[in-house]
Amino acid sequence: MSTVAGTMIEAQGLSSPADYAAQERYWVSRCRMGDEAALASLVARHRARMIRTAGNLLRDRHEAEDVAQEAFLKGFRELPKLRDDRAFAGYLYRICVRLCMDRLRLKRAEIADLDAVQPHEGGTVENRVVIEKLLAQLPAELRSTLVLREMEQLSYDEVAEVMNVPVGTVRSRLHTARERFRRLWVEAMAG
Amino acid sequence: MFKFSCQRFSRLLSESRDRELTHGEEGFLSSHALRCTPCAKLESQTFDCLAELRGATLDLQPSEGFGDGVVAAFREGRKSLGFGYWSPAVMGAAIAGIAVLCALTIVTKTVESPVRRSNIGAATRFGHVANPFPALNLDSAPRQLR
Repeated sequence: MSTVAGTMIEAQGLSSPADYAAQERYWVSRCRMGDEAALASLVARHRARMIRTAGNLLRDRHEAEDVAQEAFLKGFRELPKLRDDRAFAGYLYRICVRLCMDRLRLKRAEIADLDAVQPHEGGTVENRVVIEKLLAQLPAELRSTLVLREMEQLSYDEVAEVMNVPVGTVRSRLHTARERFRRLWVEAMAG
Repeated sequence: MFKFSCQRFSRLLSESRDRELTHGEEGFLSSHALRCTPCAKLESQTFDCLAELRGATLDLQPSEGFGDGVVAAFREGRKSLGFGYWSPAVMGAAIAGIAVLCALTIVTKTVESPVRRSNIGAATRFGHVANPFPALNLDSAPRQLR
């Protein structure tokens, strides 16, 4: 979170994290009063991270944008439930990850067809296709934990908070996910 | 004993990616990998596959007009929150109000009904109306009834 916030601070020309936080609190409070300009500012600030995370979890651009939009709308609609304006970023991120997990649970764990996979940015196409196939075979909880830790590089505490589970559960899930992913990867490489 | 060591190796290998291992733990990992070929293989496989996983990270950028789309969808959603949003609450309140009125009417009628049907009690108490159930005087009754 801090790295992401730091990048955003630089990108938006703010002098310090305090300014960044103060500006966000101001926008959230304006948003509670129905200010659409504040809402647009919040969307502009958080959209990149939301889409990136949703993209890594769902491995599909359109679905990622769809979930990110749904998360924003849900977040703004349920804004009165948010007690502390400072916690807005985490609150929004949690909604996004949970919506992704809901989608992953609904999806059938089908192995993606090589031809059906669309080329994405980052990594070689073959590598990404293999990774997508392997991730698709993991249960939603293990997959999300692995992606949040390895790709999004969240800490144990952050993963635990986002997934609403104890840190011990994150640790054991991560161990299981890595082991299962390794086995699948070895099988895929051998085949 | 060896199996236990392999399990510990696997667990520590996973944890080495998330935290700084102690000198003892690091020593155990390196010495065990030297003695156990399957665990050494597991170590290299784990690092390779997780490196590939990280290499497959997508850095998607929002498409043009994503922000406008969210704002428009929010605006649309707020419009539809008019009567459509409150109508169930309004209907519920109306039904509850009618039910309370009905209940009050029934209760009031039930309480008032004995007094309205007859004023025997009150009349008798104040002595305005003759007692409809006079005491039976057996001495004055005809002989056949005794």
